[in-house]
Amino acid sequence: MPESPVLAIEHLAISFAQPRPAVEDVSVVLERGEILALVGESGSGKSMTARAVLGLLPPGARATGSIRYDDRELLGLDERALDQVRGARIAMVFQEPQTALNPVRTIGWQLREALRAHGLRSRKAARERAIELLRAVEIPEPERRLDSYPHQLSGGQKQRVVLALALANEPEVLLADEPTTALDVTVQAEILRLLDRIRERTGTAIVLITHNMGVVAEIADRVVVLQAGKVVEEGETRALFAHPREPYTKTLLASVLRLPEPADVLPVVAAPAAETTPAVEFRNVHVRYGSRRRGRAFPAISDVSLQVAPGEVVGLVGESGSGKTTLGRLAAGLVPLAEGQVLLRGTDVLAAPRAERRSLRRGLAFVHQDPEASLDPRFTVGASIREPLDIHQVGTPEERDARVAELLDAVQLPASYAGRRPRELSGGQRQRVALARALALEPTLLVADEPTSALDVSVQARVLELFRDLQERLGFACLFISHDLAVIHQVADRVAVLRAGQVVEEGPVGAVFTRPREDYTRRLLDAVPVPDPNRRGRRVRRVRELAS
Amino acid sequence: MTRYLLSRLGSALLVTALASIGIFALIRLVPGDPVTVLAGPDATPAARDAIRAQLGLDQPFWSQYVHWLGDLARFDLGPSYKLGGDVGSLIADGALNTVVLTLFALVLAAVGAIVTSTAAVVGDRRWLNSLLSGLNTAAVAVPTFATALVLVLVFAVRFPVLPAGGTPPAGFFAQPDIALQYLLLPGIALALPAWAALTRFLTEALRTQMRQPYVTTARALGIPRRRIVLTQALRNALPSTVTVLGLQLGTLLGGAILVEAVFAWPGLGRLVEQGISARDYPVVQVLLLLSVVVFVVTQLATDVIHAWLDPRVRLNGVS
Repeated sequence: MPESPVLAIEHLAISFAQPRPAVEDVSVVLERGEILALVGESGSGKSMTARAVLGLLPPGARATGSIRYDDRELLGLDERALDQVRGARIAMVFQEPQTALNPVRTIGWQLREALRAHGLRSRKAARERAIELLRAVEIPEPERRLDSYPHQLSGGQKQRVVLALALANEPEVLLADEPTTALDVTVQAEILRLLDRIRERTGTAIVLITHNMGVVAEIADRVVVLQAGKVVEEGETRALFAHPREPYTKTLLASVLRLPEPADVLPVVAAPAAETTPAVEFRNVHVRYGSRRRGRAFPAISDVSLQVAPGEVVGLVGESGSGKTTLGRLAAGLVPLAEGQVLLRGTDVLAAPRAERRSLRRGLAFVHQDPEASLDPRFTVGASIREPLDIHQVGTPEERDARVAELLDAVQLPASYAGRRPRELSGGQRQRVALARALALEPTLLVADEPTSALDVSVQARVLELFRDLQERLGFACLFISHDLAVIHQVADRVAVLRAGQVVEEGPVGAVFTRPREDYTRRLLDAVPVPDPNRRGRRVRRVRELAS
Repeated sequence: MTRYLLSRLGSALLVTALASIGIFALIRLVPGDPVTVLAGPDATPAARDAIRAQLGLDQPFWSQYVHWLGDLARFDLGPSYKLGGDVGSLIADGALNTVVLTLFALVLAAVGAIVTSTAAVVGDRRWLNSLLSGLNTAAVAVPTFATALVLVLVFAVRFPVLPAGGTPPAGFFAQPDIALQYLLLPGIALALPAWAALTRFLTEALRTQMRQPYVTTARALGIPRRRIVLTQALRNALPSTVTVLGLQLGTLLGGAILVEAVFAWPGLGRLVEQGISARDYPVVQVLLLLSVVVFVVTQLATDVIHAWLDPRVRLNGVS
């Protein structure tokens, strides 16, 4: 039966003006109707490979080798010829649904444009086909949605629309570049199911680009592992997960954080002594966004009470819009409090006099999600770490320099890095710098907002290890915000599950994750893709049951 | 939306009020005064004092100002000092000419900018980009009166195909084709700097849009680049361009004074110029205030258009 593959990439190399090529030697074969996962960490060249297929490389990139679709060479085709292939034969779905749609055009308009590009000119026929497509990607009330603008849809719905656009002209190959990375776990599970069903129904072959081994185990038939622009290993999913040959693949699989099995018996963490004053305490806090006068105020946080004891790490989990980031910012006084009290070390921050408020806030530090955005690109690393010391005039200038070296050492970076600028560092190194800066004033409370979400799994594992280590050594309390339950499981003592601005469940991590009391927590836990291809069916069924 | 507009209206009124004080004070700070102009160089101090009293210029500043405001509120603009006739009728005579010329230039600049910048982005050839950017710099750098004179020399003197100046004898609306011939040279001279500034802005805005992820999505769907520029990028780049267009109206109003002088165009620009030379306070005050009002109203209008073009603002009222 050896049918010819629908897409064959041979010895693809992509180079920029920079010294190291982005892709060195990649050969991948995609069979009809299969789901192939292209796995690798950032910089491995997986996205560039996919973009090269459709001639969508950034300006200045040069690709050599061969990319054949149905025995037709795609590399080197001119724009006009490529436009015949793009969308019609091979389509692509991107990572960020928030920006992948035109904000000022309706969903219907954008679908009509996609259809028009490949010959469907009649408005009436296009409208019918658009409704059909929205129905295929399971968007409720498709007729009404045609007139919606992207900002009126949720992230998951936007990704469905992007998918509908890609499927508009019935392509044989779908390139999906991290299609679920920007989505909540529950939405991710639904989109993955949808991709699987589309493949079953239309026979479209899918190249799934991802860094998430859980996603791979969930859906892929075959896996190709990329490292630094080269294919290091490939194989059938079950076999590869069971017996990875290459050390790199083993590292990738080993760095995936796993949630505890319900069967695992975990020792109950001893509750911290109750008498100590909490590092931070929220007492029935409410936060509202929007103007109250117009009666349109949106409750971001409703009636939350939560304590973090000194030296305790409390994880905040929840889907986007659940209020976890708002709660973290509230501790630092970065959002206005509508009702309730925020107490830092037993003192009501807002009621305190200005000078005391300042000293209270000195004991509080922040680490943000994106180290690239949170470090000033014109400051050297040393200057960034020193800044809080300068502002609070800690010690003599010499002592401050010594402290910077000490802090760099604490986050396991050489002291010579003080003279470098953020762009010379990798993402993981930048996040270490952000951590060093946060610890400069020896805070009693650290608010960490998704500090490892922008990092690769192997880097994430090392940063989390460092964090745990520092936390034990320095004993600061921490509010650790993450959408990733496995990360919370790794670092937190206690966890609070947020939903729509309310705490639905709270308790020791081990207890909550193994024996959740609330359905919502269970649904979140079940939606986390498990890096084990053998458990595929079971999980999906449970998610479906709970969702209905 | 209504609330937003009302709040903007308040600040617009404040700006106008402050500007009226500024204008009133500024023209009195200009060296020379209407008394000297009216009485002539050889007048006796007694005669000068008499004229000064007659014009009310011997009153304290604030009293003069309040008096003027009172007159304005009754739409009584009073007689001019030197130019002859009632200020109201002087303005009424020139208003149509200036409005037609400025609007013509505004449309020319806007349409011209859309055409040149989309051409630059769709074409995207290196030579085309260098050429446009060179022309652009020239158009911004060369002063309006110079371009106006060159246009007259080339198209009215060397190759006499267009009239060198004046307004169409039969008015603007009786014979539009003739009117267009009269409008073309002053219109181009006036529009050129605004055209260039808008082109530069819009080209950059379009390029920024073309780097947005939604454009990659569209390209991956096989939609031709030209169509993406015209139907998607342009639509996203327009709202911010409208704001710049509103600001360019200031350039046009300022330019009108020079262009009307060169082309003997009997409009408000010329009236301002004559008024300032003759220190004819009532004429200049009202005209400057009028231009402030036009500018403020334009800003309001651009905000409304901006909001209306962006569905995120239009439907949610957030900005």
